[in-house]
Amino acid sequence: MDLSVPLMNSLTLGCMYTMMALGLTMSYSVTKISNFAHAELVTLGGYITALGVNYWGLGLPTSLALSFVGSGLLAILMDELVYKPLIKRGSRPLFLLVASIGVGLVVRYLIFIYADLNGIITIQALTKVEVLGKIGRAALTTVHLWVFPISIVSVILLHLMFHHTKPGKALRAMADNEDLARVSGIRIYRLRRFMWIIAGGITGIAGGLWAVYSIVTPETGWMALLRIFAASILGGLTSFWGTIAGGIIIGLAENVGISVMNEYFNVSTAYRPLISFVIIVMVFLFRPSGLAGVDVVGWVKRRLGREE
Amino acid sequence: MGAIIEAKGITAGYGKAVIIQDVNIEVEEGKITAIVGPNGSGKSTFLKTIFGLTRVFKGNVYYDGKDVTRLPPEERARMGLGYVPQVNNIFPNLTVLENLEMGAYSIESKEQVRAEIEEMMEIFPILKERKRQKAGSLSGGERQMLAMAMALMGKPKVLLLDEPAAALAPKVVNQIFSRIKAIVESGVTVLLVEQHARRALSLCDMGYVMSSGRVVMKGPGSELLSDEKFIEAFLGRA
Repeated sequence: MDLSVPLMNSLTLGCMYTMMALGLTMSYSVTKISNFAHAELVTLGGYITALGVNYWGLGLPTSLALSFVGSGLLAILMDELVYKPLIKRGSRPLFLLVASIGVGLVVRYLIFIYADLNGIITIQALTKVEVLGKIGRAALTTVHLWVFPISIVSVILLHLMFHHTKPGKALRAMADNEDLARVSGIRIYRLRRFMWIIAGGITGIAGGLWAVYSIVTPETGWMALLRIFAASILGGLTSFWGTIAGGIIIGLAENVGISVMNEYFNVSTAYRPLISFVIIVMVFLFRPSGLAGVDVVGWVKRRLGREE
Repeated sequence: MGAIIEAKGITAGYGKAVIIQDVNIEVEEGKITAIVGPNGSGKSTFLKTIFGLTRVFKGNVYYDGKDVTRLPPEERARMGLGYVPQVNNIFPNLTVLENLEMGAYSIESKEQVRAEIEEMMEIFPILKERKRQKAGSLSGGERQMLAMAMALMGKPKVLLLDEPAAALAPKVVNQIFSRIKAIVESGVTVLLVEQHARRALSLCDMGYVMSSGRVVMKGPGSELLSDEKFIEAFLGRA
């Protein structure tokens, strides 16, 4: 069977899931909130890019930048208005999780109302899509030319930020031990707002790319949330590279995986979402830390050492 | 020289639980002050209270003459307070070098941070060997050294140490204590919490004894060590 089409879809979706999941992993590691309202950061980003391109006469780069800012601000707002006050009152993680579902519902239906009033319950950013070439039967289009470079550059920039800038290192420190971070003189609330901007922003850009790739509805983020969580959980909810691997694995499983199962075992493609769910359950059952702490470099070195 | 830290009538704890009650402790500038007492006597809670990591129900903490009772920990750190917690005192996922950088977070000048890292690596040579390693892979003694170096990176005026020698090998304990002496000689005030009363009191200028969340005795370390009541209650007859 020819897997070029599902493979291409896997990579495209995998890149977008990865960006969304990196936002979730960042906010989870720093705040320990399982933020279900993360879905709405995707949706808002998608709408902003679509509106920017279709109605506000902006180019795609400007629209994506606006998605970054919009979703970043929404993320800060969620934290300042709901999560932070709850944490200061000593809320346990479970309360925060439930609160985040509530926050998500409120934002989702606000978007619904806005979209309904403006007749844009479904919308896609109308960019000129040209086929650039073929890989097997799969077409490489201008859409991919946006999705691949932006996600790769985002990952590189995030990596550089976490390892080579002061606030980036401080974020990793804060994720490790918040009290010790404060004792070291790190102003954690300021840093937390910085984190929400970046985490929300990258998620918003992923949503914007989604609007270029496919249609956006007020439930786009909610539908993607299962995959985002699956990717993040594969990364142990805290590992940067684990989350990236998780995003790509989810993309592959839901496209190549389902195609293969459909071809050889007659499994309906309608079971697609089940794959992410099964992955979440499996990880929680057998390896709660996910791919975090998997020492790939060490493993390769040991293998090479043995073969010498 | 006067008191650089003054705790007046402190009642504090976590959530709704009161752990220490009506504690009055003064820390003289340039000296070693020790708080000793059995496990669960509230020594660590008191140290955390000085740093703003507990809930204060009553009383005030003064640092350098200013009331800091309601100030968040990060601001106290920036005022020149350093603190080495007993456990979880390093960032395990950061390298040794990055841990040191975090210790100097409030220092803006990159050159100054670099110079201080050099200085710390001279004082604690083991950190130099391990500088690119994740701090989580260090041994207990190495961690304690790193934690102390981190706290010193911010050039604190006062250093709070919570059982710096707990669960370490005797040889390492001696190393740690000679470091503490050197730190005080360099002009840093030290407030030390120790379960091992004899060791702490022979080192300190002023000692406090805590029990069940209250200060039950105070006096110069050497006096406490020869005090009949103290020996009976806490050291046992030799």
